[in-house]
Amino acid sequence: MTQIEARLAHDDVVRGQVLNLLRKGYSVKARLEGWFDPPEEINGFIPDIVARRGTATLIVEVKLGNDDWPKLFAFKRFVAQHHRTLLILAEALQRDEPEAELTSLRRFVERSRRTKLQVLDSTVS
Amino acid sequence: MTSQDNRERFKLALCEFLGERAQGPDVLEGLRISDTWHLEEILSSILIDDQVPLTREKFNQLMLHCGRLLASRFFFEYFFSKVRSISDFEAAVLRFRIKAMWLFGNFRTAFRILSRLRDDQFQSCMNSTEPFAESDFLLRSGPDKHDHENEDSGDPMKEFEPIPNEDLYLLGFISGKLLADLKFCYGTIRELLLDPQQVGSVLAKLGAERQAKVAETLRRQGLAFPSEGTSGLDHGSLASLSSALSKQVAELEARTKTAEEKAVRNTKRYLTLSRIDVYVATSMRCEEDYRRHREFVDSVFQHPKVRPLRLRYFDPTLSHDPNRITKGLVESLMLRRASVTIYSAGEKESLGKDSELASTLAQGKPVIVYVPAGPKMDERAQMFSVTHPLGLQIDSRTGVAHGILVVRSEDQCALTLRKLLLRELTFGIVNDGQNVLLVEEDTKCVVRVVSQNELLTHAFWTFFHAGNTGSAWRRGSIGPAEQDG
Repeated sequence: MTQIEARLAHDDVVRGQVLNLLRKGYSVKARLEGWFDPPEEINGFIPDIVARRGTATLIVEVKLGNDDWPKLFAFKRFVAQHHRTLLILAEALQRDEPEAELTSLRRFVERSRRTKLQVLDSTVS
Repeated sequence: MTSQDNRERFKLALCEFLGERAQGPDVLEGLRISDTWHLEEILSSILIDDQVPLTREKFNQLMLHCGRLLASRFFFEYFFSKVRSISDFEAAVLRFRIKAMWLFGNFRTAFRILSRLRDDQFQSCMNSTEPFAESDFLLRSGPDKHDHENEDSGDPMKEFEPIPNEDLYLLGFISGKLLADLKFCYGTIRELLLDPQQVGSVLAKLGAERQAKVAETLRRQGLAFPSEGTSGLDHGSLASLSSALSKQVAELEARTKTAEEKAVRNTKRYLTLSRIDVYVATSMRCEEDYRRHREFVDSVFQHPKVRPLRLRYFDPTLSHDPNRITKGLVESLMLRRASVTIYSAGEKESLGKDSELASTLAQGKPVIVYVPAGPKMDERAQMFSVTHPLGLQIDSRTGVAHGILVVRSEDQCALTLRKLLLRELTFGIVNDGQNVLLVEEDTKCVVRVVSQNELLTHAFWTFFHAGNTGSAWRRGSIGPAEQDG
């Protein structure tokens, strides 16, 4: 996958997650210029999506490359310090990856057929 | 003309040479440090009827009478050795003043520096203002211009991958959002298709503003979608909308990917080029802007008077990086490396393009502003060349105020570019009562100024050389300006 293809795939996942979260009644801030306000920075990094519903907060980061870990570490620190906050790592799947990769997190994003989701940290009981 | 008239003409020209305003009938009154009879004595030996047998010895005696430094042999020979008449003297003074304004932005400093340079330094300084032949330009611009292999191949931009004109707009940070917007619309329609019974609820969650934007984006693609409410959004219409949009998105994505990949590779090529001659500043808002820009660039660089110069130019529309900061830094570097910027004006300008204009002038490099012909654009041309107080910017290293060259046709742009690079531009000097203006003769644009406001001039050079004004005050180093008007 070229850098450009990776970025297009990343943006596709962000869009898919945003629409899904909206459908579920979340208010969303996302890095989709022209459509949503961008999320505020968290410990020095800006996540792809921050969604809120009631007192719950979801931080969704879509994996773009292998150098994401400082960002994820910063978000984990944030989640550890805040109640009812969930950090989700979303990853664009290659077309040949089996759908079985999708885990029980379907309850968050059932329709993301090409997206693998992983809860990295949570203060949601 | 009487001998008295000749004497007045000579004195006026001398005043101009010295960078002084002639005040009163005895124009040298405020200048001379010698007695009147003494100055008249030397003038009488220089002015004999219509002849002006000016020697270096006599010239330097005049300088002493006026409290100025002595001129070197090279200086005198370059400017005054051929003076035989009053007209010759006036022409020599004009030649000196034009070079002084071009290089130093003022007259007194120009004389102070030029009159004392060593021969090689003086020649080098003067050579930088002299026209040169096309073959010399090619030699001076770098060995690659004379590379026989390159000459045979003809095109100095041959390593750059062309991008089809109709796809250029897909690369723009403002205009290139179409794919992302269409994908969002497509995603929204897919959401609605999941459960057509819940269309109203899904759209409510999407929000009225975003629904209106979806409708507007689709309308531009020839697809109908309600900007409010759910009228017409049954399963069948949503399915057909989805199918039509899916094709458009797939086709646009393929074109965008190809164009981006080429433009990213072009960026890398630009970063490793041995030289960049011209930076083309432009701002793009719509597809039509890209088409016009490409026509303009081709017309200038393929012009029969420009093409032989084998110029390499940075065209921002051929270069891309998905990160706006990276792209901005690449463009800043290209701006720094290029010798001249061509600014293509539109009906509205952008912050980026205006910054590029100001940045070029602040680096002491010339800017050609192309304002297309037409009644709507006449006002813009007037604004650039006459009315805007910031149409002149100071070179941040030297303090010399630089102006822009405004051209009104592609042909004039090409010819001005050639003259600029071959140093064939010609200038005249105009005094508007408050400033001395160096005016380029073809475009009638002011390219340098010397203010005659004495307080401004003194404050300007004092603080310009002091750097940080606060520290200058604290150091108490405010004294006579290092450079004066």
